[in-house]
Amino acid sequence: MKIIIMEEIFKKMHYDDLTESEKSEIAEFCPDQNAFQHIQNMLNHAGQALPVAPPISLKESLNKTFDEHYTPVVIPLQKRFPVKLAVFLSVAAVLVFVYLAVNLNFTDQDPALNLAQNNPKKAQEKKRSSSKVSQNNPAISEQQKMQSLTPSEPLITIPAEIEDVPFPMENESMNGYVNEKIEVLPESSAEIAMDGDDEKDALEESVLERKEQSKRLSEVRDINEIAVSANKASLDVKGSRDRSKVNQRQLLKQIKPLF
Amino acid sequence: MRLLKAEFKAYSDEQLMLAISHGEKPAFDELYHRYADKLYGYILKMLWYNEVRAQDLLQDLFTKIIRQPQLFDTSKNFKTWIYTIASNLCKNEFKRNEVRKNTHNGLDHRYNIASEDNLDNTINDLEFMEALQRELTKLDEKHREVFVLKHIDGLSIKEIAEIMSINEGTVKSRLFYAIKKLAEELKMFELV
Repeated sequence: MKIIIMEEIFKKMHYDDLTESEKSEIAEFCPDQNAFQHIQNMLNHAGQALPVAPPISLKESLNKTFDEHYTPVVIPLQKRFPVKLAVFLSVAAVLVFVYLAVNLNFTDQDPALNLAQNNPKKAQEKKRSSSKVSQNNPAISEQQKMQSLTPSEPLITIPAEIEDVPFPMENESMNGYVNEKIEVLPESSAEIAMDGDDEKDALEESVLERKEQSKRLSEVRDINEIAVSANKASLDVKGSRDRSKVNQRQLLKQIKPLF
Repeated sequence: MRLLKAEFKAYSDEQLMLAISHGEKPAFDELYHRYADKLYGYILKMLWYNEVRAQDLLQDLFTKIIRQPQLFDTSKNFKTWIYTIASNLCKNEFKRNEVRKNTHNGLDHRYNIASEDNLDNTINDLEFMEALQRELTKLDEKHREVFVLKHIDGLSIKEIAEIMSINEGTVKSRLFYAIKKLAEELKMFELV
């Protein structure tokens, strides 16, 4: 009962407003109106306690704590990945990429040759390994033989004498020469009949010479056909990509000396 | 987007705590503005007006709010929560029993209160407050705490019960005892 009364007693305006039971509860320290008024004032004044405020330094310290706790950790510039190194590496990477792109896409050479030029050790190793495989598998060895007919090497060595002779098939003068041979023969025989034996002999010699030349020409034709067929065979083995390039260039390389 | 401090004035304590947990500095400033003085006064009274220790405890209290705002359950009352922490900090301080050793007769020397001989029949509010402080320090902790929370900080019986982890009946009986004691000691003052 005492508990409930205390909560409400001193909210009342006057001592006389209290009930008898309430008065008896506080009689010990509040017997009359004066004491009642005094306690009421005391409680009111207690609510208006001396204003106290923590020092500003405390707030500053808390601000610092707050900033430390919530500000994201900034990595010092020195600890970051070195910018200069990053720029250097990126430039180097670009250069390497450009170099590789140019060399891989526009080179005329065979990849095997490229490898041999750039890294001879690797090329040798590759050769060895391929030879081992070919020994075990005859089909592969035949293929490799065909591939080994590299376009840079001439398929057949042409004699020096023949090299100077023009190619007959597409050469008009040579065609004319062939025709001439057929036409001239009867005229020359007529001349022989008219001028005597010496002249006959000379004519016969020239005919023989021409026969020899025509023989050589037929040989050249055969050689040419062999070269073309060999090239075809080698190109069939290679990839379709290299075929068109190599076909044209190698044919020209091999045919040119004949002219 | 960061909010300005003025915009946080309309926020409840619980909303401010939520904002603090998201790193909103103005929210912390607003909360500090609302509670720093009250809590400092409360701790100061509880620790026999030892300013140094009161400041230390207040700093500990707000540091906890900064570093561990998630400890506060936003569905509950912030005022009760913060006073509970303050009360527990004071209790720990009592346990250490160091405060009394560092003060002169249980009072900080900077809070020397005028002796009864110097008192006139008519006294002003300031003198009464000084006397009240002195008498408060004479009360034991549990009675002093109840009186301070109820009549100085203006908390309800229910809130005090929650803060002190006691039932409301106990709060009321302690309050009755504290008022009776203070009335007897301060009856020489004629308050208007």
